[in-house]
Amino acid sequence: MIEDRSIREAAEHLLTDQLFGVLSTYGRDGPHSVIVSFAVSDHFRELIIVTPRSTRKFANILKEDSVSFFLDNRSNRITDLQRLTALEARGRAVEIPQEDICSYRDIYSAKYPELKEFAESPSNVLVKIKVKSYEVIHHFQNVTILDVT
Amino acid sequence: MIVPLGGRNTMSRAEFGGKAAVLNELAGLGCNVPEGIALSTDVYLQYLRQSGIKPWLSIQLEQKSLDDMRWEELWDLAQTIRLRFLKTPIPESLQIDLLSEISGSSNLADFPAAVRSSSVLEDAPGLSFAGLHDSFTDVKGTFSILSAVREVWSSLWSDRALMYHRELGLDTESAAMGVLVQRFIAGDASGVIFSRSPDNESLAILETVTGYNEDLVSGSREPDRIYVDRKKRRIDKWSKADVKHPVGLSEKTVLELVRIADSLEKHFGHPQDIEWTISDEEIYILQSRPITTIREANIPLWKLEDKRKWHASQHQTMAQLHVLRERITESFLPSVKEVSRHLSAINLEGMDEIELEQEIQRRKDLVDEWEHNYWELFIPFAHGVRLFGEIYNRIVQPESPFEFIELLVHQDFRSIRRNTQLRNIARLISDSDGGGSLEEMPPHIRREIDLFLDEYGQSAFSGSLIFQDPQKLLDFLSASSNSYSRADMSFDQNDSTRLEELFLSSMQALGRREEGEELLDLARLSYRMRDDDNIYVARIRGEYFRAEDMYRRRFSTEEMEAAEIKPEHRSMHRRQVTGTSASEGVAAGPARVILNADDLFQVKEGEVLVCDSIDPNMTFVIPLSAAIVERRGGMLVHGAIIAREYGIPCITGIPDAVNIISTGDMVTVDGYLGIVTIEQTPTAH
Repeated sequence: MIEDRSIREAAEHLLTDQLFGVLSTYGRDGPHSVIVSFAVSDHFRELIIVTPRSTRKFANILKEDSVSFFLDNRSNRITDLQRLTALEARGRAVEIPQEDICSYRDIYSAKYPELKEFAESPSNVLVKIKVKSYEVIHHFQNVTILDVT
Repeated sequence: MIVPLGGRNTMSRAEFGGKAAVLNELAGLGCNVPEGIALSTDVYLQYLRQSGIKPWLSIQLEQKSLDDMRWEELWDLAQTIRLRFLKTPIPESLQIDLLSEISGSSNLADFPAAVRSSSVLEDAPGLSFAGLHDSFTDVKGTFSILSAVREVWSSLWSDRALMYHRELGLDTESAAMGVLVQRFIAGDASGVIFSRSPDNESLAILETVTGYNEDLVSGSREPDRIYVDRKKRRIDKWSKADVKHPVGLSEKTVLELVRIADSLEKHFGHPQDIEWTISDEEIYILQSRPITTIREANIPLWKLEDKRKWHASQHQTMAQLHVLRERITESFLPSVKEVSRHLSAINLEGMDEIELEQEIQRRKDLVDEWEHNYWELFIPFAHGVRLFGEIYNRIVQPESPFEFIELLVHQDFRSIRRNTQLRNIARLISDSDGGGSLEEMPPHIRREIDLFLDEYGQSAFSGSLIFQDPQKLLDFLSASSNSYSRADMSFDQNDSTRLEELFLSSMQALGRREEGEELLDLARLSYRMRDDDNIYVARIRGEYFRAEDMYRRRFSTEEMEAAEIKPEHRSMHRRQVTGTSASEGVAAGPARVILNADDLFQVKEGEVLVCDSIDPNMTFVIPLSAAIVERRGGMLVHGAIIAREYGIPCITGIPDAVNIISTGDMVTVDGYLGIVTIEQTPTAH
């Protein structure tokens, strides 16, 4: 059995090490999932994503700010069943106000120096997900909820 | 790679395993080694890969760390893995290679064969793996040889092997096994020879039995022991195990064996422990391993015997089980009843402080003595269930490795008898408008309660007497009389009759029906005793608690402090946890965490019982429970036994169950998949 502390550590590793996750939003056409890059801030309380304003995900967020963000470390082998750790973050997505953009963009760019230009594009918007809870899935069927307060 | 013995200058231990490497070397030296072939570990790995077992195995091994498993859980895992090997044939292309070697140059298919394990770790310096894996003798026909090869491979995954791997910190998943297929020599006499005794360097020691040497190696037969003066080449002493039927071994043969042992010791540069057999005056060498490592580790030569004892303590033979059964039924059960009856008749009220102190000490000693009996008799006797399971799986090869349990359920358990007695009282209470104090109860109900307490009044759980206050029992039954009196067991007799016939007819086909019947009978008693034994031993323990409690009430000034459990806000909680599905079904209900005897009386109908480990003394609450969740893991733990009787789901092996679940949490128990889902209720935290 994984100890409480190591579950928290496993979640933090995932959030730090993984490059991409899946953001799920809900809009006029129903649910919508898309792969995104992301960075963490405020001691894992917030996730930062960058998206063009014209995307369906951003339109959805404007209508319904409840979102789910999923990531995992699968290697596409059957042994993933027991080995993988996956995590779902739930929270509210909000556009980052102009006055805070610089500091958030720095965090994002530190993780993705290759995407610096993308992050700075005027057509893009920075969104932060204020996480309410993380749900960590490990060893196939074990689920632990971490409240974020 | 498949190579004839003696067909190579060297065979590496890593490639072919220790036994094959040594026998190949011996054959090269001109020793008379039964002809045969060695299958390298690569053949085993090919089988794993081609048959699809490999990824399946990884998943099995990663469900729970071996370090976190109790011995019982290792046994469960071993059955699961071994059955998979038994049910997975060798893929065709590999089979063709093997068949051509078996029936090719060595003509092995024309004679009975011995199919022997040759483990990579076996007999390696510093490790003693002898007898850990299976070997099969007198195997006839190519089909049987191929299935024996799979059985030898599967023995890499026996419970004993898993335990060894764990203790030595070996990487279990990458373990591999070589196999020897040799001509089987039906020896007239067989044995082992130690080229020198560690106690007396001038002596060599032979142990020998008539016939084959499996009985000697397994320790089930007492051998003749012969001491030979190495220098003078003279028999020093011959201790006969059976004076009337001494082993037929000539002095000439004994001395020839000593000569061989001596030359092998010189060749290998270490004293040797050599297995041999003799047929028609011809000596065959079956194995040779160094004994120096054993001495260096300061373990005596007879370590070999210790190991036999150790194995024997884990794995009982049918004959040993019969002895245990007799001791339990003829001696233990009658005397435990007598002792507890005697103790309960003693008037503790009339004792002064000193007398009562002495009485407590006497009872404590008795508890120790009976608990010792419990470990000596009941724990080994419980292996009757496992022996049956192992044989059932080998013979029947069922879909589930735990199908055999279906043949053991629904017996006359003490706990079920107790619950039936309680159910009858519940019905009487229900008919009599219920409620009220013990004194107000109609005499016929009071009489029934007295009868119940006579039989089960000493039941103890978590250090205290459960039914000490009969009013609590009465209140419990009054509150739940309707549901308790409805509670019934689940029976599906048809299925178990069908399986019983399947097992016995499969045994009959092997000419072993009688043995099958005997084994099933032993296994049933062993299964029932697993549950009953705690209730019997509790009678003595309960009498000890009764005296202690009396002392506390009359002479102790210490106030009992009730432990206060502070609700704690948890920022992390488990929503879903997995364990072993030990009894099938799905149920949901509020959790009732059981930490002490008082918690038992709080149980309401439809609640999910959550506890560290179920004790048969507390299972009177099961008729009300919807499901059981238990920390202690395994398919044969008490929680699983009682759950099967009532047909409710049970999940065992949930680490820390009583801490991650709180009373009041809504819990769903999926007894098919072993998943417990916990919905935290705000009020519970």
